[in-house]
Amino acid sequence: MKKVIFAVAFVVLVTNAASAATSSGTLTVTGTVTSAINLTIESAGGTTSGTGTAAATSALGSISRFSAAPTGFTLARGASDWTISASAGVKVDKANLTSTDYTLTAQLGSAPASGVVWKLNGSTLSDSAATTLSSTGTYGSTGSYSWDIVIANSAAAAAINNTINFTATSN
Amino acid sequence: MRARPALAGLARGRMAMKNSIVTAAILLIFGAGTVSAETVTRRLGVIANASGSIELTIQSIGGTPSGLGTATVTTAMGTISKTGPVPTGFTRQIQATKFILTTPVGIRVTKSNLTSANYTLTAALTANPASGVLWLLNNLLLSANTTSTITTTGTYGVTQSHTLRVDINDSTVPQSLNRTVTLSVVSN
Repeated sequence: MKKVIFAVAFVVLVTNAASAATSSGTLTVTGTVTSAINLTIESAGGTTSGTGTAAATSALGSISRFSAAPTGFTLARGASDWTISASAGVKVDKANLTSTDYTLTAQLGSAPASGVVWKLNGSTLSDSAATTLSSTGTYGSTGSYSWDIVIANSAAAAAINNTINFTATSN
Repeated sequence: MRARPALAGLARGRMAMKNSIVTAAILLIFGAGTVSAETVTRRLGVIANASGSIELTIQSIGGTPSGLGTATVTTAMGTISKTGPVPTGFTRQIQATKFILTTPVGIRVTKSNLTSANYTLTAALTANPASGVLWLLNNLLLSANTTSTITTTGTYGVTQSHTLRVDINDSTVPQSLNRTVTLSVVSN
């Protein structure tokens, strides 16, 4: 008998890929750069803390017409009042801004004690309105502003604590 | 003379047997048309080659991200400036002439059917940054012109932390910062 043989052969050719496996991803970051200015108080009379930031404090200690002036201050006596004087250094930096200069104003945080006057650059400060110190401030340099506290001889002996709020606005 | 019909009959018989074997063989191979009432057997031959593959996913990043755990992630920083609020998950470093935003980015690469011991990760921007803005990953400058190699020894299956950094010069005009970083990974 003639044999009939069916040979079914599966020839599987497995080709191992020689190329490296790859993968990819995307990371999208969104954001918008905006303009900014930054005001810092660089110096002031008295015993200061926080200079170089936007919130500095100066301690004058006990002051009187006939005692020595506080550190960094001078004292001048008038007939009916006396004045202690120093300077305040204010710096305004800008970033991502095309403005060439700025306007600086100052305002007291609270009404001064009776018989006490606060002045910057010769202008009397109040707690009710801002006083313009400069309308052409230069960015990146510390502007020096004269600072006077005038105390009437008639003023009661009391704390004169107050806060000067500086505001810079880009022009 | 009588023997001839007998031989002829034998030859026909062999031919018939041969045909039946062929038919049976065909039916066995293809298994089609089997009308047996008992069983029907079909065989499905599958030929496949399991090839190695890797997958990149972004697991974490600062800002307000979406798509974490996938290969396509978007994160929003919102409005940014030198002095304003810092985007969630970012840190800001202020320098004399610029500010720098950084955030960790968790990138994970997994492998399957692959003997590779580690991977190479590269990154590039899809568009060059605006003037005065730099994008860096692991302190390597990114651009749309060249691909930066972030690591050549990445570990599979582990979320590795990389640092995305954006430098913004003070001289940069206010504008949209949006950019896309393309991450590519190749098995070593």
